[in-house]
Amino acid sequence: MVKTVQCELCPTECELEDYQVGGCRVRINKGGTLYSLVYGKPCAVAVDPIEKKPFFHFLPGTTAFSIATAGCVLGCKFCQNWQISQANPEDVDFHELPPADVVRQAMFAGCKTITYTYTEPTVFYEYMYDTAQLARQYGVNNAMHSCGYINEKPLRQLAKHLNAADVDLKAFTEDFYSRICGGRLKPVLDSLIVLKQEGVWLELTNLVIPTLNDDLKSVGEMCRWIVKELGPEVPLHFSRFFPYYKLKNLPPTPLETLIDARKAAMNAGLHYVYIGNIRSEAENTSCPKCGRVLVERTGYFVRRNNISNNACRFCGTKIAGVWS
Amino acid sequence: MGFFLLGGFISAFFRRMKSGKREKTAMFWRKTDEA
Repeated sequence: MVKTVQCELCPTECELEDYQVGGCRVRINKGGTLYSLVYGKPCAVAVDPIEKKPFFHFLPGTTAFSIATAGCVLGCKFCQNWQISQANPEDVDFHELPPADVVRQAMFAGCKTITYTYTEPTVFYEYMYDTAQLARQYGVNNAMHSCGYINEKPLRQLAKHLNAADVDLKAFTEDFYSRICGGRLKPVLDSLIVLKQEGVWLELTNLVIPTLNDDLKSVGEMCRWIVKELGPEVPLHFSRFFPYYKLKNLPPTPLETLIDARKAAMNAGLHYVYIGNIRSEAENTSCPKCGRVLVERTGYFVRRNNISNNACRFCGTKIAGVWS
Repeated sequence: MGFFLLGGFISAFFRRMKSGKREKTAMFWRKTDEA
């Protein structure tokens, strides 16, 4: 009897013969049953400022206990963590850290949130799900930084335990997703809508890569879609690209390009648009009504917070986010 | 030598006990060829 299985976790939906490993490198068919190879085996564990994820409207100034395992559902040519995301689980050092230990260590370190990040948390779904479920019971928040390349059913199930998600919207063309990431745009857009429907606090990150996705027309289109489908209050982070992995031939993103992208986003109607991976005033949160600086940041650190009772301290305008 | 080997096996056994099974059954998949 042939023992073939189909993974239904991400939109790639790998069909796997016996003893074949999925495209994510961390799920294997053994005798007609699909197994995760990375459950409880994070290859990266760290305590980070929540701003590093980046979350700017979710518990600013707090720390996040961050974990990742090997593997990824995509194969982005610009990946900044390719040493672990494009590695087989047996090729990286890992810790033995079952869900209960993750929650215990997060609480011991005084972290208000556990973040599933660095690589793509979808690949360690079972580990993330069990940890998130347990964390909730102990009053610890859960947040993920994801590419959003996940099927609707697992995402809805996970969202019940998620407080926040930062999703990489890498570009707004199918061509970019296909040529540069080895995936598709449509499932990512669908995931964003699901997260919004499920009431998960959502922020978006767009890595601006010279010549590949820095076309202002496309940036404008993306931002108009965000305003229409997700609302103007979803924070968008334009992040500076540095040459990594398979795109070492391109230069870092000029600051002017990021400033232009930010202007296009604000013209499209978005209220909170940030520039990351470079020092600038666009790291601060300003009130969309009175324009005063509400959260002043330097890099990942919060220097001043003028948000009181979820509102601008100066004019009382409600500021979208989870502030306490 | 034998003492160290035995120690290694005992240590590996307890590590395995602590971390549970080496592989966890995945949550979202289906068999494609039930015969």
